[in-house]
Amino acid sequence: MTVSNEMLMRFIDGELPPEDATRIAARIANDPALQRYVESQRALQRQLADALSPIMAEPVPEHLSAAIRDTPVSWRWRLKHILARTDGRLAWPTIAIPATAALAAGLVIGMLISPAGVDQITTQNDGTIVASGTLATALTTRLASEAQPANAPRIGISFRNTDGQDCRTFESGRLAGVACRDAAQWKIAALAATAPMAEGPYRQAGSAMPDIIRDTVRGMIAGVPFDAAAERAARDQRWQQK
Amino acid sequence: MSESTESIRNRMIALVPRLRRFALSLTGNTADADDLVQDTVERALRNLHRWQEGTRLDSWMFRIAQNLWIDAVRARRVRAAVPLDERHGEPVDGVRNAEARLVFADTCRALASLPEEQRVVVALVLVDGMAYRDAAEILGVPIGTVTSRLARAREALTARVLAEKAETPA
Repeated sequence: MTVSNEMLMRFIDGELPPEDATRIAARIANDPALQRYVESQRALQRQLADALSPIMAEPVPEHLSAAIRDTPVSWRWRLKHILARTDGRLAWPTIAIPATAALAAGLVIGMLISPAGVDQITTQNDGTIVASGTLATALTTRLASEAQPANAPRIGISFRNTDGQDCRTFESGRLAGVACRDAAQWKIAALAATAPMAEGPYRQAGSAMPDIIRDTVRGMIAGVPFDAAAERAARDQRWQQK
Repeated sequence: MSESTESIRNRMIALVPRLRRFALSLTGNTADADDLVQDTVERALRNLHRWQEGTRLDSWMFRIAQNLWIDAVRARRVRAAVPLDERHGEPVDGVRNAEARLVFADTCRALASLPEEQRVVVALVLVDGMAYRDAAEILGVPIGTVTSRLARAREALTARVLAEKAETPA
């Protein structure tokens, strides 16, 4: 029985199961031709190592460590981490309204939102809460990547929910929430009030997503959030994907 | 609990020496190798969400490097591997003395003579010392394909090395 080159190669590379390796080793020990072959292969490997491994001993070039330090990580990675974080300190004492709960929504919302935001949320006769006014406009038209006008509702992430609807998170004044689009309007899936922000010229532009909104997103999201292209495509289809 | 971005950046820095050696095996010169490594780390960070946490970061980055390299070769944006000592006015990093330089040049010429798909396998298994299974996963091919490419590459390289030895009087 001869030993195939492939068998020898796998032997040299440590790829054989122990019992086969033992068997092959015994045959090599008794066969000068096999020994020469194995030695030639080891010599090849040594030559490759001698030629190419010195670079391993060099310090990491500055431009490479700078690239690793400074290249921004993808926003979807960051978002995944925000969604995954359960111990993050969030600056939001949250008051949650499960939008499906039967409650005196109008009253509660009236208490929560700032006067400027009153027209942004509407309670319908059947009790569903929908976005209206400038909030509805922002949800329908604005892309997260676009410059967002001061005092206008800000759009966070967009994603598809497990019911196949397109949804978006938003912040407006002291409200944060997530809304999903049905055939006609943006239904509010969750709302939270945010803590009053410090006044002054350096008012924080964006803040962490409140727990309740984050949990709601996590509970309803199918897959990953839209990237910029998917967000734009969804917007261009008016959030009514096929 | 997910790993912090900071910790991932540190792991990438620790991977640079291996990535450079891998890239050098493919490109045959330090300047192109470092360009490839730089493209690799930038792409990895900008696409970090595509890395599945808990899986091997090194395998994922080697895969990115090899894909970038293959793309570059196909687009003919890079020279075929040219040993450093055949180019002008470049420092020979890490290869200081003349003999080492010769070995390096010979080796790069030998690697450059291989078809691209075989060279990548040599770089992963013979140079980096990866298991066939890991190399197969990086390349997205069956283990049997890695084995056969490696066998062909070994044959070609050995024949070349022996031929060179025969030409050179002892």
